[in-house]
Amino acid sequence: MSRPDPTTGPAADEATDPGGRAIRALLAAASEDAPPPTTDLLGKVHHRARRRRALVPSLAAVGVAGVLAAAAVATSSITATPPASAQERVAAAVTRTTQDGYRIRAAMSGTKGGRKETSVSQGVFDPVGRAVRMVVVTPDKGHVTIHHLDGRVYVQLPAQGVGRQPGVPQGARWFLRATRDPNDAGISDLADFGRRALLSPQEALELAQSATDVREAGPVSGDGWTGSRFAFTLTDRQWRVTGSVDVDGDGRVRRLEFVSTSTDTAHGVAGTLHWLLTFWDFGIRERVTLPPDSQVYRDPARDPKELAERLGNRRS
Amino acid sequence: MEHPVTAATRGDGLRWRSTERHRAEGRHAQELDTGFVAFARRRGPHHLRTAVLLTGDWHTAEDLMQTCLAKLYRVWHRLDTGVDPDSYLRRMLVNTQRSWWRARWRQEAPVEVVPDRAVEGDGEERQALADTVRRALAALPSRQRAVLVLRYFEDLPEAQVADLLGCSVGTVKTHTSRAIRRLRELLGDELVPDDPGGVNDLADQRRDSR
Repeated sequence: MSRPDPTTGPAADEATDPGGRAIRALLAAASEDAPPPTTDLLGKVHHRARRRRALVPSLAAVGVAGVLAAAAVATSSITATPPASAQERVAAAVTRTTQDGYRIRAAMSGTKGGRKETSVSQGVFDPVGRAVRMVVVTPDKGHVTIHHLDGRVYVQLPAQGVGRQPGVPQGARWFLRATRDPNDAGISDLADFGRRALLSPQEALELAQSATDVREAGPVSGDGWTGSRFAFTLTDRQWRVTGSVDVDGDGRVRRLEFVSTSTDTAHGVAGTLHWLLTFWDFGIRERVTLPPDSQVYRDPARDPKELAERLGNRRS
Repeated sequence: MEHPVTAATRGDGLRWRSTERHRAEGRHAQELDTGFVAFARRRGPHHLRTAVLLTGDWHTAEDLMQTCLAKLYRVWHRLDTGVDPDSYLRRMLVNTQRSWWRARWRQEAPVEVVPDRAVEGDGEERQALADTVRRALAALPSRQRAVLVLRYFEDLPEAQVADLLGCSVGTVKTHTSRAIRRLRELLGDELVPDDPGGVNDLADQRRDSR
């Protein structure tokens, strides 16, 4: 089967996505063979809207089966629909969890690149502002980071270094970097995702949501809730992530625990890290406001960790 | 001269209404209808193509479009002038398809048998390609499929895709990369090449750059 002509699809933006031409051409080819419509779509639309009754997907299909499906909906006695898979339930739980605000505690420990790593953070997710604000409890007590879902990461500069660091503007209180670190060029896809997950609990949830190897592991309970535990695994050439997601009776994620193991010695990240994230206070309305531009220092060449160390941010 | 108050049906309990008000309401409804119909006729074919990429077959795509157009019609008169109906309809298509996928009704609903169309020569090959690619898309997880369609058919930037799906930009990138890799496994290197002029497979590019 020959490759479709890549010029027939929408023009590719070569500067930002030089490799998408083939995919664009395939999608164009997969949608060009429209058969003659079997129904007048607009006629059906007007008919449904005027009668003002609830739409049921199966009603749009062949008559009798659609009516039966509608009746099943009306009486809430659906028995033909098979139960959702473990993967679907985890995916739904993550979606449900992230629709509202929540509080979170994230504890990490292990080794990376031969160095011992440990930290405990607490924070809050703001679904309106689409950002997570995390405050380190140990070891860098009070150190704040804000992660926006569009990839921006704001790192608070240590107080004693403000105004004293050469090259950093006087009024800068925050350092802005992209989630994707230029130093990570060459790492595997899962490694990149895993690293981002370690930075932001929201990304950690999405990491679990992306898993396809998911199986139910049994009942589980916590303080004031009961639910089910689901085990998942994600692997690629350099990383392996195994973990579990605890979902409560309301379909929300209560606990996410995973172990990420990397064999990537080339980028100094080989090692094993254990993460435990706990979620509570669902529906909390706490706004996460981004720092004003006047306080933000942007320098992609600067590693915030290096900057923090230089300023002596290692507090006990 | 006829009295301006005219019973719709005298003696059957229905409301009396002013003839003039009824006519004004009718004109307004007609204007809304005209606008909606114009939009649907102009943009419907494009969104139907998006629907077939999301669902995998034309009949389900028609079902999806009917459902979403009906929803859009009901809120058409309430849409703010700043709302782009294309974006609104696109969001409906993605969300409705995902809810159908979760409920798995689409797998339960019977599908009408489509009469075979006689195609010859190049047309037969194009039809075969379309069927093959749609089957491969259908084999992808729902979110990966949605990301691919929104990025490379709708040509939306990653931030807009992330907003539409309610996830982070990083997740969009990851779903894109995995979806492309899976398509290459299903369709082969010839259709989904792994070279600088072909698909941007992030993981493979990083490996080659080390």
